[in-house]
Amino acid sequence: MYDLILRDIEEVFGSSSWTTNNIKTYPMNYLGSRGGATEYVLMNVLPSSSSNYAFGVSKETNGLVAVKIFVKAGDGQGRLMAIANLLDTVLDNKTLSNGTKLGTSYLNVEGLDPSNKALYSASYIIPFTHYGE
Amino acid sequence: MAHISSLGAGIFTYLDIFKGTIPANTDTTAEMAALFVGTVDGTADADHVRMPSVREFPSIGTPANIVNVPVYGQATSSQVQGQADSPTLEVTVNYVSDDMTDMHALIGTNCVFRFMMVASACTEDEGASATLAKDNTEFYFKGKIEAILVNPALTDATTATVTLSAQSDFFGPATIAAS
Repeated sequence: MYDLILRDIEEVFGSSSWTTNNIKTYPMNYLGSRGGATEYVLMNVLPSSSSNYAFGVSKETNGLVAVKIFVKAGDGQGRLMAIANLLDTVLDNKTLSNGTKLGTSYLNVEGLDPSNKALYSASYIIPFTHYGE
Repeated sequence: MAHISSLGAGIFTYLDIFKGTIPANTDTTAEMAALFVGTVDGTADADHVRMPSVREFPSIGTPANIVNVPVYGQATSSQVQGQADSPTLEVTVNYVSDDMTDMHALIGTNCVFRFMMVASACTEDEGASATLAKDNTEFYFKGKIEAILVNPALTDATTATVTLSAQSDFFGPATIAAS
């Protein structure tokens, strides 16, 4: 079930409706080179709680998809918001192929990246619910 | 007899329905239990249906109706058990339209209901056997599905409130004999 949720989200970022935006996308816990990119996103799936939604063992899992957005520092917030809009078009209120249901998103603007002042960042967060195993 | 013998959450609780022809004078626990045994023992018939995805059960059983009876020579009245009102039988289900088609078709039909608690997961076929190798406890009653009200929700699953009416006493607690 956890792997299905991850697969659902990864499929979104592998789909042509996202890749057409030409925004480099990496999974969280990726240790490879980012090639000095000044615009990219990090995708993170965070299951957080679960419960039975019906008698007879029917599990519901809730959590968040957090997408950390990095853009070039010094150019204002416009590009950040534009990327968040693009994420909304593929994620907001969508039901994915393995049944993961996404809610409504919000954005936490976090400012300059402490480890690389050339980057400006925000976290795009959207809750998900997955019914069943 | 194999009643549930230890305390635990009632996760494996089911509401099974016999929607076929109810023989006249079906008014004992054994007669009602027999309706839920498949023509082929261990295989549910077409007349056996299970309420899908139940989210909340009502209290099942005969409620009290205590009536005070004045008695001369006593400082306090005595009490007797009068005829009780049937409990409100509202079952809340997670509403998936496709799964609930059978239930909508049953509205107004005389049925026999089996409220079944089991110690572990029990399929419809397992429940259609004369014996069961899992601790279990049942209550039976005759009644009808009277209404199904759908409750759409913005952020949670859509649910429906299924209102049952009781047309008989509640029979139980009973148990399906151990296999």
